Amino acid sequence: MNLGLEFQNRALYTIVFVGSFFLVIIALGPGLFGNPSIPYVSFQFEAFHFLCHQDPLRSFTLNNSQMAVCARCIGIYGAFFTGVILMPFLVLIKKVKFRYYFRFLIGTIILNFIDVLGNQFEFWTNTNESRFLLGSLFGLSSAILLSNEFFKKLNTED
Amino acid sequence: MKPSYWPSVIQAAIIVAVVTTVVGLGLVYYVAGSEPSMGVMMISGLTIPITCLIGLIGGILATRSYAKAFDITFPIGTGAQIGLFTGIIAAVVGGIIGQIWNLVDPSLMERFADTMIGAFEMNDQIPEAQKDEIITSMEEGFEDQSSMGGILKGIAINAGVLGFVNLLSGMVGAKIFASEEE
Repeated sequence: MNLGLEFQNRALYTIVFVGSFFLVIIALGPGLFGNPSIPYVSFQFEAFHFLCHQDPLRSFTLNNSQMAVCARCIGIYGAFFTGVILMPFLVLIKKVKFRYYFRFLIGTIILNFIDVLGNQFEFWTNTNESRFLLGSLFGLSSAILLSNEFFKKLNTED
Repeated sequence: MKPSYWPSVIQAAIIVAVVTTVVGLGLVYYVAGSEPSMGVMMISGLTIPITCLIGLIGGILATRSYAKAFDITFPIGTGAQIGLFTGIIAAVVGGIIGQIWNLVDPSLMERFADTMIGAFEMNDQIPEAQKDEIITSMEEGFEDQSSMGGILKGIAINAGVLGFVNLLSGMVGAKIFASEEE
């Protein structure tokens, strides 16, 4: 069946797909398996301690156990994996130039930065939900930036 | 023949390892020097959210450095390799710095573990039976982490996760700094 898509860099896409899936599973923490979260001891926390502050106040819980990463980070990893799944559909829907994807990525980084600074200097108080949402935008924009490297629409002008 | 990317990889890995280890040690000292309380579990005052994701930038730094140093373009597959190696080396170097620091201050991790366990003992929101189970797991976990096997396991886990996230950031870096198109 011809879907009008050319699938390239297949091995790399498979690595990214499988790796992102396991990244999300680990990031969800011990609660996913019904175990209590033990900060600094559970392997899920150890896996992310270089990458996230793992503050209990800034993290969601799953089955009453703290996730291994904060709300912003679970948004980033979750949305990145979602973006990896959606890549072929995004390419099918519309061909977007790299520079627009790049501007979107930079925009989401700036948004997250402003949110962090605004909260730090008490201009506003962000919530786990708002952190998750802004983190998700960053994760999604990172994934779609790469979409044209894995999928190309056939019979369209470059 | 393309020039070697190893100098860029090693440079970026050392930056990531040093920054993440210094931030991590700062947190450990903060907790180890605190009275046991639930407050030490809530450390947002010290680890401001901006420290989040420092470990991710290795792939971006290495691909940028490689592309700019030799003024070349390369595919995202090369960016992925550069990022992967950067993350793995950063985890190994970070682990070595942590172990060297253990020689400088051998009682640090013990003080840290005591404070963390003390904080859990004071938490009255967890049922007693579950609390005992968690504290036993914590004691075993901290003991395991200080053994040679535990240290190597920790480095291996960090190498896997840091390697993969930097593989992703290496692809993004290659796309931004070393892409031929547009």
